[in-house]
Amino acid sequence: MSTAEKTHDPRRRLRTLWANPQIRYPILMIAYLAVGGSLYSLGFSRFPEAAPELGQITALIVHKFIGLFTDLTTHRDATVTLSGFPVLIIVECVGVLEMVIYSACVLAFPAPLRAKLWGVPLGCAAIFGFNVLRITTLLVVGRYQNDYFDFFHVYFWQATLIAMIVSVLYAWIKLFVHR
Amino acid sequence: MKKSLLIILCFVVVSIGLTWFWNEWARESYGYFLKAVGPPIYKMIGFQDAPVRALRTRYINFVPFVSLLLVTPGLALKRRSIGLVLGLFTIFVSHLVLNLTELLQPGRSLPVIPSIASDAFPFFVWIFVAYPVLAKFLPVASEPSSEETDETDS
Repeated sequence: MSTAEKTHDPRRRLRTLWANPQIRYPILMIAYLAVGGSLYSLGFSRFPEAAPELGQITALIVHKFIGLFTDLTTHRDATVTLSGFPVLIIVECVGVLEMVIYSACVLAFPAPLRAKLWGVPLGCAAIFGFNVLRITTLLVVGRYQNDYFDFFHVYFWQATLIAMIVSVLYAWIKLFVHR
Repeated sequence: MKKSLLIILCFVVVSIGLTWFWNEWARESYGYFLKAVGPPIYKMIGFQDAPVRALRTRYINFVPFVSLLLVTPGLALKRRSIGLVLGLFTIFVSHLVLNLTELLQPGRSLPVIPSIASDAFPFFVWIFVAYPVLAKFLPVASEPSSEETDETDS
């Protein structure tokens, strides 16, 4: 096969494209996201009681965490209160969406399986930890600087969501992939 | 370590500023813009009944993309500027697509899968634009081509 034929061979071109991580990584990520998103959606539609339970568990953990520093916190179902300022934790606030996106990033990354097997659960735990900090900060802002609550609620949602994923992913690459 | 912390700090400062800008001014203006621009585009592609309420809370995903792109170190100015413009346009197109989910589920919130798509989308666009820098994190076999490496600042 001549060089010209080689470059026009569609299968070869496809393979060359696939070998390019700039193309392969986002495609694999989209595929894993679609699978993760579908499982998430299916899971909550089959077990609708899981959503409020996740909120309740997160609220309990936030309550326990704040309880390490002050006894001004109370907790009931999915609501945590700091000195009279309540926050209701809905399913979107528990960090599962972030975990799905992060897991897709890890699974699509060209790394050994062992690194991925460590990366997914540890990273999800780290994201959960960040999320507890995020909710705690919101409670503190809501209680002591209430005028800024709406702003921080928006800020600690979209902007920090990506920052959380990028920083945990960076840590995983540094600790498990580039050791 | 020091450099990573500085990047995180920059991200925090830039994203707080952009979130303030979005909340105070851009959100409302963007809503008017979408309402003006959306219907003719939908009509053109055969979705003339698609409502454009422009209130959906996830339209803020411009903020993480711009913040990430601005604080990514070592990206050539040309790639950063073109990437910023094209990225913003791509995210705008994604909003038009995501807005079509109003036909299935009206309201301020997006359904689950579009929510994930909306949250992850700025990240995808950033990966694509900042690839020459991010490629350094990939295993050696997947190093970027010399052409891509040339585009980055040293």
